[in-house]
Amino acid sequence: MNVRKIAFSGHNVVRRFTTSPLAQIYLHKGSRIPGLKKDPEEVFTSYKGQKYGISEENLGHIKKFLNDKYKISDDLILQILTHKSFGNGIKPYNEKLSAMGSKILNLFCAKHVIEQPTNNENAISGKNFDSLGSPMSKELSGRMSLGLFAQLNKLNTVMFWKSYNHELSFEASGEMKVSAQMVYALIGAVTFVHGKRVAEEFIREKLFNSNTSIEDITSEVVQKYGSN
Amino acid sequence: MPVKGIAKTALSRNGVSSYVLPCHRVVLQYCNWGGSSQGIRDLLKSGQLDTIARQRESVVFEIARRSGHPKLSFKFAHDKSKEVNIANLDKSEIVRKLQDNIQSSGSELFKWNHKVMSSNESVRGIWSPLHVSNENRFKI
Amino acid sequence: MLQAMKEIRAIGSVCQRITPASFYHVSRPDASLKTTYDSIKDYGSYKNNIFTHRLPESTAEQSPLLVALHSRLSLPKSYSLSTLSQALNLIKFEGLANNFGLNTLGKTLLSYYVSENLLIRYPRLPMPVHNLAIDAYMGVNTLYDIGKSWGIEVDTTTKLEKHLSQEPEFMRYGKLRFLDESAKKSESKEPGVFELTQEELSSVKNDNTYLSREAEAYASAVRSIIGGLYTHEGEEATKSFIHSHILSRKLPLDQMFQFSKPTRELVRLAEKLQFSEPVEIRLIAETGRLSSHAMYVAGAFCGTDKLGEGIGSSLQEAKTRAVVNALMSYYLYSPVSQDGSPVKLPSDNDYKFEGIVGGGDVAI
Repeated sequence: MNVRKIAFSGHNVVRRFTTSPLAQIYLHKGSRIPGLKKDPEEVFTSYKGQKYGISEENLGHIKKFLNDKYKISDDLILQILTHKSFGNGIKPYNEKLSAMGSKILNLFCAKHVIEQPTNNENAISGKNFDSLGSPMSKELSGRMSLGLFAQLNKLNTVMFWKSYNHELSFEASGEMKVSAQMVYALIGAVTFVHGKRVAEEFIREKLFNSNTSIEDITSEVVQKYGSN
Repeated sequence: MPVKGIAKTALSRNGVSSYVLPCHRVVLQYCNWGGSSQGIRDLLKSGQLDTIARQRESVVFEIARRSGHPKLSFKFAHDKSKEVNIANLDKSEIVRKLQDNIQSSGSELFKWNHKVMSSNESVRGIWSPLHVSNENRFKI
Repeated sequence: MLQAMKEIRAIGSVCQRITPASFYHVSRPDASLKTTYDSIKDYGSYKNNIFTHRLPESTAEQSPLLVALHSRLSLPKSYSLSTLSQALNLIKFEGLANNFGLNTLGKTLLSYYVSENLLIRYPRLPMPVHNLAIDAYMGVNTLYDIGKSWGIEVDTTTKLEKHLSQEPEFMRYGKLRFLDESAKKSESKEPGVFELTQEELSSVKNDNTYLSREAEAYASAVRSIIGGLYTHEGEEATKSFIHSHILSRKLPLDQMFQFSKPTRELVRLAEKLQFSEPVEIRLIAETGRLSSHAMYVAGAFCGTDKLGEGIGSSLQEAKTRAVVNALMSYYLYSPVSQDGSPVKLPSDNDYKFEGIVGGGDVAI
C-alpha cells in the first residue's frame, strides 16, 4: 500500500512525496482500531471466508446459471457479487447494475401482468390494468421474492458483503436485501452487455419459466404475509 | 457522505425533439348589438372561423356572447393569458390578430441587450490571461 | 411432477424461515377497490369492482378539450379519446375507471427509459446525484411543469356552478379531475394564500416545501398519458415519446453536485481506481503575491496527468476548485462510440455495449 499525501507547495516548486517502502507500514488484523490500517487480506475476505477475486469457486455458480447464451465477463460477475458494504466500497460494487436490473424487471413484470388474456370490460385494448396495483403484481419484482429466488437457486452462496450482524436470520441480517440486489444486478448486467431484448428473454426464461418460478414464490409470500 | 446532490428540475426546451403549441384556448367575445362588434359578427357569419379552427386542431375555440366591446382572450401554457381588444376592427384584421397570437408563446415581450440568449454555456470557454504562454504575457 | 412438488415444498420451507414480525412489509391489497380474481396468478381475471364502466368513445369525442389535447401532443390515431380522458381522471369513487393502472404503467416505463439513459450516458454519476437526476427528469415537479405546458386544465367548478352556467357534461371529461365536490368549494379568498389539505400538510418537509395535490395530479396525468400510449401503440412509440418530451429537456447536471470534503474524496477515488502515483496539487500560475488582487491557478495531478484545474483568489480556493474540477470531470464522463456519436442504449435495435458500468462511489 502506498502512503498518499496531498502536497500543496506555496511556490511554483513541486514537492513530491516519494512512496514509502512497504516495510514501514503496520497492517492491523482483528477488530478496528482508529488510525491503524487494516490488513487487506482480512478486509477482502467475506464473512464465510471466501477470498475476493476472480476464481472458479467464486464465479462458477453464476457462470453456470447464466450459461453461454447470457455470458458476461468475469470482472462484471465479480462486480455483481460485490455489495457496497464490502471493504468500505473500495472495490467496484453492484449499485449501478442493480439500478438497471430493478427498473427493467419492474417494466417486464408490469407488461407481463397486463398482457394476459382477459375478459374484464374495463380493459383497454385487451390489457387489464386492474391487476397492476395488486400485492401480487407489486411483489413480483419485490425484494422478498427475489431474495428467496436467489436462495432457492443457490445464487447467494458467494457474496461479498458485510452485515452489522451476520448471526441474525436471513431477513434480519440484511442477507435477503443483499441477495435481491445481487439478482437485480445480474439482470442489470445482462441488460448492459446484451441489451434489453435479450435481458427480457433472460427474465422470462430464468425467473418465470423455471422450476423455482418467481410467480410461485411471490404468490406464496403474498398469501402468507400479504393478507389483511 | 462524500458527495451530495442538489435537486433541480430539467429545463424545458420546447421545439427540441418535440413541439407543443403553447396556446391552447381562444375565447372570442362579441356583442350582438354594439357597432364595435361588427367585424367579429361578420367573421362568425362568414364561416371562416370553421376553416381556421380546423387548421388549428390543437386549440379550443370558444365563442362567448357578452355585452361590451369585443375581445379575443388567449390562454397559454403555464397559466399565461393575453387579451386583445378587437373593437371596430374589420374581419381580416381580426383574423390576423387571431393567427398572430395563436402562434405566440404567451410570454411578455422584453428587450434583450445581448447578442446571445442561451441556456447552454459557451463552447469556447472564457479567455484567461493566466494561461497565455510566458513570452506573450503582459509585462509591467 | 415430483420435481415440481419438491420445489413447492422447498418454497414453503423457505417462507417458514421468515418470521411474521419481519422488517420487510409485504404490500397489502387495497380493500376499497373491491378486487376479485379467480386465482392469484391469473392476472387477466383481476377485477376492481369499484369501477363500473369506462367513458364511451362517443362521449369523449364530443369534448373539444380532448380533441385539442390529442392533436397538441400529436398522438397517433389509434390512441382513443376515452383513454385520454381516463388518463385525466384521478377520482376513485365515481364508478368511472380512473387512471391508477395507466399511471403505474407510465411510471414504470418512464423510470426504465430515464434510468437507462442516465446509466449509459453518465455511468459514473454518484448515486445521490443519479437519483436526483432521475427526479429532475421525471419527478413530480418536472411532470407538473410538463402537464402545465401541455395545457391540461383542471376541473374546479362544482356541479351547481356547472348547472348554472349550462356547461355541457362532456366538457369535464377533457379536464383533469382530482378534486371532490367539497374540495372545490373551499377555495381561499385571499390571493397568494393557500389552504393546505390534511394530506398536503403531512407532506410538508423540513425545508418548508410540499407537493401540492395539483402538482401530484398533473404528474399522474402525464404518466398516465405515457401509459396510454404504450397500451395503444406499443413500446417503440412510447420510447420515442419519452425521448422527445422528457429526455429532450436540458438537465443541469453540473449544478447538482455538493461536495463536503472534495480533497479527501479525490484521494479515496484515486485509491479506488488504483492510480500508481499519489494525487498532488501543484501551482500552475499566479499573478504575484503582492499584486492588488492576487490570482492563483492550481492543478490536481496524478504523476504527469492533470486531473483538474482551478482558479482562485487564494491558494486554498484555487486548490479546492482544482480538486472539484477533477472530481466533476470524472463523475460527468460520458462515453462515446467509435464513430464519435453517443453510445447506444440497451433498448436500441442494434445495441452493442461500448460504454462502462459504474463501479460505485467512494466512502470517506
